[in-house]
Amino acid sequence: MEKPNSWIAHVEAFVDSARATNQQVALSSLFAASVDAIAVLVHKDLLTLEGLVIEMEQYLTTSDHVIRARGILLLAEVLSHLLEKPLDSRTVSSLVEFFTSKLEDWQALHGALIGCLALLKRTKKFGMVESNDAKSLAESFLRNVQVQSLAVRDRKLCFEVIQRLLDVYPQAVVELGDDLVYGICEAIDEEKDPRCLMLTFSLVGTLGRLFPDPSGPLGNFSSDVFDILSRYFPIYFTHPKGDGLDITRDDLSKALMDAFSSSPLFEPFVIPLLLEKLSSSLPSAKLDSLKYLNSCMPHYGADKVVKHSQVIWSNLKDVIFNLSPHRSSLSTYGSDGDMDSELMHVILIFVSILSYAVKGLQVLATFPEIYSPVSEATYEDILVMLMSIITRRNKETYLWELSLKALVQIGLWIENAHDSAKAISYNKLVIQRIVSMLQPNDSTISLSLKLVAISEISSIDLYLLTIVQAFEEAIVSNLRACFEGNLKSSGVLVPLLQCYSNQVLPRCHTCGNFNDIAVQVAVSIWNQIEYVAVFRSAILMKDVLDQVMMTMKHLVAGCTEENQFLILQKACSSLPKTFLIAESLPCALSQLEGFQCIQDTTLMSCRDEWVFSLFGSVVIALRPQTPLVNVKILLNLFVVLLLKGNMPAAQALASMVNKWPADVNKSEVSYSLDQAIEEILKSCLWTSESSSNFIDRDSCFQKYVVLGLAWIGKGLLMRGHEKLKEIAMLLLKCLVAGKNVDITLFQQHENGSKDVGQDASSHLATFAADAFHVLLSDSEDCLNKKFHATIRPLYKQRFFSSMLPILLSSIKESDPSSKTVVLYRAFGHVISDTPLAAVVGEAKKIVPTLADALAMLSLDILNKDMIYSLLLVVSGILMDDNGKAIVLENVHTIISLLIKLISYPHLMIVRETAIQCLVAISALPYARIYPYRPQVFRAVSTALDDRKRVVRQEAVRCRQAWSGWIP
Amino acid sequence: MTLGMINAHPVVHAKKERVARSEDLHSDDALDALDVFDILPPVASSICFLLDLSTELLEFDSVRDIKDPEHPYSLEQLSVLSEESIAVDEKLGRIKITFTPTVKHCSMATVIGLCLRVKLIQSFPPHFKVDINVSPGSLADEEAVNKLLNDKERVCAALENPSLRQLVDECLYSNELYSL
Repeated sequence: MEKPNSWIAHVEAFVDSARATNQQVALSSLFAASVDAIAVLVHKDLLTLEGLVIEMEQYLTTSDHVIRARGILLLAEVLSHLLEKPLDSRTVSSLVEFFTSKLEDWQALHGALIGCLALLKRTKKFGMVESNDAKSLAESFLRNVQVQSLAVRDRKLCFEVIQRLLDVYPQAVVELGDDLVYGICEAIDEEKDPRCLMLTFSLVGTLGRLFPDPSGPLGNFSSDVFDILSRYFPIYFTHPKGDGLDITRDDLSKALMDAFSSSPLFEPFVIPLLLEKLSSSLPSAKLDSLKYLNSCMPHYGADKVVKHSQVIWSNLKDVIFNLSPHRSSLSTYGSDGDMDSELMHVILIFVSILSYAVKGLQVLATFPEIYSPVSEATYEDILVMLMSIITRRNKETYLWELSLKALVQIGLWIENAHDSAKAISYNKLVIQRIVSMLQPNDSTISLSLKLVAISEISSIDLYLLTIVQAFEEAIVSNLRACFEGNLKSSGVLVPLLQCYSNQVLPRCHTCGNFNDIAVQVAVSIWNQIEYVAVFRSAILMKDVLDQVMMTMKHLVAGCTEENQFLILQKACSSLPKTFLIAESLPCALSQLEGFQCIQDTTLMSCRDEWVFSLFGSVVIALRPQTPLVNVKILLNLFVVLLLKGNMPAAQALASMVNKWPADVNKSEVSYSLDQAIEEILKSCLWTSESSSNFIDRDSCFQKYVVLGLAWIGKGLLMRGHEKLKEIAMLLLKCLVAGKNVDITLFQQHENGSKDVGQDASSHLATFAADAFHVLLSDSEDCLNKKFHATIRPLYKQRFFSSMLPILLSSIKESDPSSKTVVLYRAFGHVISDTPLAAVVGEAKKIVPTLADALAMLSLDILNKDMIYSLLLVVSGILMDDNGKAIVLENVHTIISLLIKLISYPHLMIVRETAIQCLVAISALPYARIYPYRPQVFRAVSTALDDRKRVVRQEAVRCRQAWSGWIP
Repeated sequence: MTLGMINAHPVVHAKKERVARSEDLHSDDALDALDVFDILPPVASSICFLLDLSTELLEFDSVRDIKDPEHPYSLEQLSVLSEESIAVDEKLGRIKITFTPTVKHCSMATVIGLCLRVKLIQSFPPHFKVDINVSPGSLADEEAVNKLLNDKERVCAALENPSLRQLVDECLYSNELYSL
């Protein structure tokens, strides 16, 4: 061990010269040297700490406070030099005890604080302070040290001690609870020195993390703590730069922000304060508020912020709308983009919590360029953000839709403003991304959402072409996959085509180059079919075919004549060559005979079905002026297909007939419509001279013929051609024939003869009855305005008035014992498909038969839809003044019929309508309907117990109406 | 001479949001409290006359002439009836209704109860048993009224009384909401 004298000199020098320090600061280097020397001795084990303390005892305990303070300071300074000197726990413990006790000694406090800090800074490796010692140190500190009254230097030490305690001994100090928080509150109150503030802010932050419990100590004092902190916000810092403090405004602001966001307990106080400052006129305050909001919102959590959402949003809106394009006033507070990037981030965070902030993004993105408050980069951020909502947050429907709407608005704005710079980034970030979603390997969101997104975006004309091209690619590749037997593709293709033909294509009309697009897509669809010689999948994929057909029709229908001709040519060239042999119809018919015999065994291949159906679709959608080549061959082809049961062929035939040029001489078509129809009829019913022969045919074939005739008849009916009569008569013949055969066959049946024929003939009659529905109903598939049909006004009414007497008389003539159901069925179709006004005009003739028809048809469940439409006719008649009179004449039949229908089991809507009709009847003259009251009440009270609520409610209404109390 | 109303300034309560039913087209719709509640408003608006206009008016036999109710509130707004006060048990076939007269000495309570009963009998299948009570503590002679309202014979007798029958009918049918 070193001899005491050698180092005691250092001690004395340090302690004694204390008196001199007041005058001679220059000596301080000397003191530092003394401390160093002693520390080195201790460190080298030349001197033990015990020895030092024992030798220094007189300095440490003397009543002269100056010397005592110097002594304690020396010991503390030595300790802070010995942080890496291993010490045993006993030594440390006694030293802590010593310094803890010295905290009471305010004159020697400086040294005591340094000593405490030095001890607290010790790490485990070299022997650290025990937890319970730390606790008693903290207690003593809180009890004895009046931080506020100390000098800056000591305050700083105090905060460091507390910080150290909180950081290293959280368990120990947490037990102090309220005392600790209160003590810290007291200590940090009114603090002004920037260096100390940095410490106090971080102290509060640590407190927030230590006491998360709302009912804990911080919960109790949170308003006090916040009260202390809130005075500093927004940070107002005027220290000159060269003061050597090395602390900037930003550092302080950052520290305070951390304190604010440290605990959700501050939320009730912080958010209102921030919002208040957000509306301040000082730009720096605004900016700070935004920054703080930015940092606090994620820390507080969504559920807390949602409470304030309304207010936050309205404040943000103000900020957005007041953003100044001239940012000179802002320039002192950082770069130009600061404000808007902060704003952006607040909104982004806000978006994650609340959806209506999307609107804010949209507003930001649609500022005209020169005034735009947002920089290029921020603009792109907005787009990326919105896109990420589109691709990732598809579960939140409302948010998703809003974002999509915002994107569309931004796009529309770009288009209107001709802003090329923004258009480029929009194209890059939005359009390309959206378009890439159509690629088969993209699995970001569900297909239906993708399609919604794309169809919305396609309302921006600027990018329509890109989207259309993407669609084309997707359609073609999926179609190819379909043909190759990929069933998954067919699932994709149907909605894809639906979206394409319903949403995207119509927009192409306005954008101008529809023709080019349509021809291109149509041709590439045909190319795909040509390319695949045999379909790998044996399944027809009816739904896909239907949708492709519909798309094809839309494509063709929108084109001009020349372009339609192009598509038609392409389609013709794709047909199998064997079907295009230029032969006249009669020859074909002889083939047909042979063909008929084998029709059951040789069905068309899948591919043929596709080719012909698509070809039919092309023809259906042609304009009347579009020239047809090889008309004869086409007719021939379609007739053959019709007889095979290909519906599109029948419809195409009907379209051809409908659009047949009226003046043959002027057109290239070599023969007139009359001729053509005769040919068709002949070939369809080449056996019709002997109608029994036709009836003997199997029902499938009959069905095709009757259906085909119905379509052709519709084509004629719509253009008002007199040949329709022939077809109508044929259909009637089938109706009646079916009925007649019924009787004969019934007799035959009694004799035990074949009953196959009976089925066939009754089927034939049913087909004929349903043909009237085809004739009169509007079709989506063909013969409508969209597909350029020739439509004569009032054609339905004309048909109705000419057919009605015939139908009525044949119903009357028909043997009452026989089944007239088919006649009623035909009658029903005619009545329900004709516009109501025409029907009501003829109410007098119709009503009795209508009632009979309803009674008869209601026996069969298959007629339920017709029952409903007939009931609608009844209610239509009931609404009409003349109709009421006629109903009154038949009131007995009608009421008993309606009462029966109240319990119609198959269709709820029939029951409901029947009751509604009864309600309407209750308005008829009281004297006439009074006798039926009990009957109606009985029927209605059973309806009160109906399975369906709607019916029950109608029943109550009906009862109310019928028991109408007349004053 | 027109005297003041029994309750000239009734407390008006907000209408409540209706509970949304799940719409399932293919299932049977069970009877629920809302069904009952929806049936009653037409009655309710008529009863409003009775509630809010004094008995003196009735004595003058001039209810029929009053076209404008002075308080055009529904029973729900007056908190006489609410969805919660209706209980329906479809399996047992029971409907239980508790209504609250607006004032403690409402002389119209029996007529309201009678109207409700007639309306329900007419509007629901006959196998439902209907119980009508005034809510506990809302009326001075609560027990007597409850007994009266649930006594079949007395209800029948009341309905055979021509003037009472007229009053009830008037209540149920006089201001129909629909005109066809």
